[in-house]
Amino acid sequence: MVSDESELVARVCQGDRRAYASLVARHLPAVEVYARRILGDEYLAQDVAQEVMLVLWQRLDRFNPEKSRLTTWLHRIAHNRCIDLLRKPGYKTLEDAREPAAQPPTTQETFGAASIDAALCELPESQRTALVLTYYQNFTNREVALIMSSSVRAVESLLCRARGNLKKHLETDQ
Amino acid sequence: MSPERESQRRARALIEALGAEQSAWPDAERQFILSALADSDVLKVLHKQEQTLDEWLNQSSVTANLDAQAVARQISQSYPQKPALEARLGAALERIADLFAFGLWRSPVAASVTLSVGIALGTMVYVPSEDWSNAEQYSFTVIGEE
Repeated sequence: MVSDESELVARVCQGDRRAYASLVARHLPAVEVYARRILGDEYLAQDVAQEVMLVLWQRLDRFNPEKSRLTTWLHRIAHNRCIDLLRKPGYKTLEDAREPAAQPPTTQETFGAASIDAALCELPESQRTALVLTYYQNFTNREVALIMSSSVRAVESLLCRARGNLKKHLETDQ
Repeated sequence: MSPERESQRRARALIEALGAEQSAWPDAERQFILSALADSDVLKVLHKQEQTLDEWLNQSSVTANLDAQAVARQISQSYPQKPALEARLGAALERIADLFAFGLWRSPVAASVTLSVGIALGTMVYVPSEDWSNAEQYSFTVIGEE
């Protein structure tokens, strides 16, 4: 699969649209889901994912396969774009802007997907990024450190704090 | 610290960071974490807690909604593969605008305004204690006397 991917990369650099479509099909879902978990907003996440795919089309010559995997490079671009958005003054997700629910959450909602996604959004940005990249995107700590321009030790520490905060959240909910 | 306590500490740090799932642990350290886990009741309790957290984390169900084929077709047909000069300049300007939006301009502007007000006030309000307007004449006088 890796050599297959390097062949696709070489073909995209030469302007092959079919090879580009294959790479997009392979990487777009992961980048979109990552951005959604970091930003907490479906539409902004889709914008970020499409911007990353545009970079894949226009700037693939800047990718160095000796330094990282293609998915790591794309997530690094997505990460930087998400950080730009999160640090803009007055950043507010559509989920934040929604009216609070009239009914209190059901037990299923309290312990379910909505609850975990809300708890993730409450984590500090760096802890959330480290956890999402490691747990949901399946990157190694070394790759996460590369994406976040950090060290492996710092990533381990962020993960510890992120999981500690989530455990507290889980205990409070229960 | 004894080697045994050091390995317990490292195993604890890895479980706390990476969770209870063995596949998430680094290949090189998996066996060592498993032996540390077998030897310590404290680690077993921690492992159980992390397992509960993992089960909770696994309930997250964020899915991708974009149509990859449509996105690929739209981008590759609408954009040239090498961006034109004006597009690159536009991107650079956008980055500069972003810098301003982040408020990075506020500190230098505040410092410049403070300095300008200081100079203006100093020029208007401060009166020198000695009159040096005839200093040149005075110096000539001194030289002339010699």
